[in-house]
Amino acid sequence: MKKALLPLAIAAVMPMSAFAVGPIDGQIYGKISVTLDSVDDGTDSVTEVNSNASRIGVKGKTELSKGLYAIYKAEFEIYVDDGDSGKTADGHDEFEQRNIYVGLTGSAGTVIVGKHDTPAKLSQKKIDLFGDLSGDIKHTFEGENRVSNMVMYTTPKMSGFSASLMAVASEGDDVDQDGNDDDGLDGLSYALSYSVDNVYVALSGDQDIDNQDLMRLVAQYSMGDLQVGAMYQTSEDNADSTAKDEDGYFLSAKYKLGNGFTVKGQYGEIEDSQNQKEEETFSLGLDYKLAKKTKIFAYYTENTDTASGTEAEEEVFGVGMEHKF
Amino acid sequence: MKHLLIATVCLFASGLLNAETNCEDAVDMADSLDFHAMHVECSKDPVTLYDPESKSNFFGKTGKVVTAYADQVKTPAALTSTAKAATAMSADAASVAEVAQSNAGVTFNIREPFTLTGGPQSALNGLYVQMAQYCSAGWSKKKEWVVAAETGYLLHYQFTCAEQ
Repeated sequence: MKKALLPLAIAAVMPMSAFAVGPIDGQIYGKISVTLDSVDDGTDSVTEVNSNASRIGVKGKTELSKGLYAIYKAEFEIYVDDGDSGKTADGHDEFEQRNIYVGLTGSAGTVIVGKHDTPAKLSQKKIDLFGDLSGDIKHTFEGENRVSNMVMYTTPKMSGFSASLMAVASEGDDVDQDGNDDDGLDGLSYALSYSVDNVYVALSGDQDIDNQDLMRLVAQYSMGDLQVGAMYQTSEDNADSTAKDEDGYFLSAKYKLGNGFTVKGQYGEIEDSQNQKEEETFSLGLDYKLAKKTKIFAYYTENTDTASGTEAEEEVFGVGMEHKF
Repeated sequence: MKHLLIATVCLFASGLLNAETNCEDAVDMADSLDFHAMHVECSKDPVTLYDPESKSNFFGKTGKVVTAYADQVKTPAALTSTAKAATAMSADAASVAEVAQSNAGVTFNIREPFTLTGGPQSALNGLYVQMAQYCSAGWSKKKEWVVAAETGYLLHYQFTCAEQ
């Protein structure tokens, strides 16, 4: 058959309004976020173009039987600014693995295997209003981990309740820092959450993840155009005997002003009282939605790290654009 | 342990209300622990059934045989437009029965255009003709959504043909 006639032949067999029937069971998604930042570390001020966890992913499902699905996701970070994460010597790492898994989901819950953010990290939900930017709580708080070689089970939602448990294969590493290599599922992360209407609360924690044991309590509440969030966290470093018992809290709020504008701010502080170490993060920002999936924004962040009488401070002012697809 | 007990009591004391799934952008849902919502409840992708040609039983449940290619999904050959569908179905009952059997359990996405001035009735008519065309033995509608188009809107239905 001549290629030119092929579309006509297909049109003759299928109604023009039918689509996406067949073996393609995936969806491409992602976001591009770039900022123009002025970074001042107290001695120098530098202007930077930064890609903020821009990513592309594909996810999908296949129904194995009634209500039981095979699921997968493969997500990669892309470096929109220069194509380089700065994490490898040769600089050629245009794609960096993020969350990647395969698993099963159904009425009994979800099991996934691969590489993924821990339940403790994801339990923060949306309280970090400057995620992926300089004000991201990962710059101040422990527990923001993505781990390899993990198996995770998440219960179905039951009257708003849900729980997740992740086990991490140590594969011969000494994950609990007791001087002996571990060879089982030694790292654990969990989250227990309740979410209904405008209320979200979660209790989560890690054991022997990134050499840390930690516990965090998260709450988020939305009331009309106002959303507030809070987190309390306590953690212990198993690898460094001089760093113990870090405690801290985090508060955030955002308010939709109307006409596409949202103003937001957050503050967090964590303290190691034994070593007189203290870290603070403070951010203010204004978002303007150009469309449902597109926004421009401006923000200011101040991160302070105080240890033994010395203080390191970083100030960042940035403007940027984010587009989701 | 004390924190765990306090939090658990608080969680259960706050009431056993039914929770609804809030569907967000895929990139946002990808950063959550609600895997079932992201992959199933909030996914507009058509479901591809497990191909059981070599294994027709999975965990005791019967799988469904589906053709793997869009142009092999069986429709009556005479049906080239929604306008012709209704007459063709009544005229070619054997062909329609074959389609019903072939498409049982298969999920489709379809769409029809409409305008605000004309209203959605014409789109609904077209969608129902199509659903009857694909699933002459009946169907269940799974999702409905609308996408803006150049000259109006496109009303989408996702539905699954009844199992025989």
